[in-house]
Amino acid sequence: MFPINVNRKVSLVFMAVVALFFGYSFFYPPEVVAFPRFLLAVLFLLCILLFIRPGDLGKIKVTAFLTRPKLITAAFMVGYVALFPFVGFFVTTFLTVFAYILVFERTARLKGFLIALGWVALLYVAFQTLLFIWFPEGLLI
Amino acid sequence: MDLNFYLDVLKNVFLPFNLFMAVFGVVIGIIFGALPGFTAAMGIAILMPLTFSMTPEAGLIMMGALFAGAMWGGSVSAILINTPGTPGAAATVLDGYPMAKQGRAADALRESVMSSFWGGILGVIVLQLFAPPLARVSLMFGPPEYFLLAIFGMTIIASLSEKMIVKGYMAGFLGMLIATIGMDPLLGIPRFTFEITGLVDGVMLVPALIGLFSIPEVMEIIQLHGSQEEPIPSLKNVKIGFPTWAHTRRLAPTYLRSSLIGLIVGILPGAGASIASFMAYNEEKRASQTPEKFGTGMIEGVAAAEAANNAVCGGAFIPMLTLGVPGDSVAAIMMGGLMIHGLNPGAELFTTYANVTWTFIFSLYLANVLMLLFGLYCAPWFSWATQTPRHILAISIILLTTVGSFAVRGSMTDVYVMLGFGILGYLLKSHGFDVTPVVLGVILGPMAEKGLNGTLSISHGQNTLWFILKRPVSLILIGFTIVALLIPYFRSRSKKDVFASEEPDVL
Repeated sequence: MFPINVNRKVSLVFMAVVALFFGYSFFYPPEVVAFPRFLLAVLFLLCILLFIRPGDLGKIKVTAFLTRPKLITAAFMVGYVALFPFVGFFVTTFLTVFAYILVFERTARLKGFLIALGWVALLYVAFQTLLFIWFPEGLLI
Repeated sequence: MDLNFYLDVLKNVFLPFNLFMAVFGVVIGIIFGALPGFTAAMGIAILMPLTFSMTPEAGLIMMGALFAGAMWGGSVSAILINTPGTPGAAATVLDGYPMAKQGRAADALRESVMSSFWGGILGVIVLQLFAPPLARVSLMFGPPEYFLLAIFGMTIIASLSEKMIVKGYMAGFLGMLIATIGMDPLLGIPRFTFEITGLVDGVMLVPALIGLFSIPEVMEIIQLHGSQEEPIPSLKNVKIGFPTWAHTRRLAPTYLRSSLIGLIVGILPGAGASIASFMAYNEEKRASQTPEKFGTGMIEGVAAAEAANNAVCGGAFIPMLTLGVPGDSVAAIMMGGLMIHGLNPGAELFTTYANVTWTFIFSLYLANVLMLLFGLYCAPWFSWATQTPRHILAISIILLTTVGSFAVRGSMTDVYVMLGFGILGYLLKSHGFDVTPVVLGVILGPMAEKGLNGTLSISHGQNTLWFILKRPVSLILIGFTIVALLIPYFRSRSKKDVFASEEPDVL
């Protein structure tokens, strides 16, 4: 819960990004990277400015950044994206929605089942039937 | 353009499918707006893939209608549960919620929809009047002007950044840097791809927008899971209906004043509906005989905020359609949609593709009328959207963003881009950055680079500065840029800093 000044850290992270792009720019002919190098120079100056004068807005609550609900949601999001091409649209979507609802409402099995089924049907009709966008079939279906 | 042309355009607007898309857009927009955490930008980003298989007219009609609907929808939750559904409705909370607590929720909802309607209509009238001449001005633009326009856009975006100004600039230039990933426009050499084949064509705009606008919101929404929801006032059997003529006449100056503020703010790149509504609210308070009553349930407060945020729609489309510089994040996303349909902003939209453009502009009138009717007669139904559990909203967004990104090209690369930008957006937001400058940087970056390359090419790299200074339009743009650079200085001197001081945290 204790506040910390993060703007200096942010400026250092931006400087690292600038350094990465700047280093990488030497792999290309100078005329190709002239504009990006101009942008990198401006960004670098802004980073220095932020580092020197971080201001009051540098104080944010550490706990607000990653909390349990956020971590669970992030895990589901990454898991859904990761499984989508391999397990397929139907199974991944159904299981993700059903499991996610159960995590937040342990007793809502029927509700979770119906919502999951509803989403699969809605997305299938909207995208595959009406718009002819074919989702990955995956291993099971 | 003769009468027959406009009749054709009207016929287009009222084609059954286009009409259906307008109704669909308004209804979905109101629901998205009413759901706390869902914004107009997110709604359009998520649903944009649906438009790819439609005609450009139908797609634009749906997106325009969604924008109009969401701008009003935000006020439903602002009035009923003290939580602005969209950032643009943040000022509506100040008087709307006290009105609801006094048992005047129906009055507040009626006023919010009426003022939204007038603001929206005035916005479209100005768009209709000013866009074609401005598009003709764009014919005077050469590479130096486009370069300077992009620089001006970047400057004003950052100057008007609602958070720290240095961070606004950093976010904008980061967006421009991201836009350099992919094929270089001069020699066609892939740059900064980090050996990832999917990045050779550059960062796809639509998945990037979906990620930037949706994933940070998912995290915000789920953070509120389990928090005590405000019970909504009962609207059972409530018929809102039209206001009296005397009431409309009494508030006409408010509608006009606030709409003008909304329009001007909408035209400025990067300044969105939340700034407009707070400015209009403050102006209304300043003009009032009883400013001390603002914040206690004054109907003028609701009217000012809502007229301004809906007028932003028309204003934001003016620079987007004519110069390719979006007025706000929603216009930026719609510009991505235009490009997907092969339409590039500028004079061409009012000549070669005049039919599409005018169909879109005229459909905005229809969208505002539909919003008015749905608002007046169906507001109690939409009010239930505000009670949707947060985790159901969160998982719904996750599904729509993933499936929507995949639908862009049927490629998982776009889904990974969406996820990557979502993570970037969340990291930026949680560290005090605005994501809007990033998006506008991504859009303005290629314009700036092409403009600079073109300028160096036609000036043969010699006396480039003098070459730019000799051009009158360039000089005007340099003047605008200097003014934009001075805005933070004047803002810091101003006692009434409407951009930051009074604005509560918005979703």
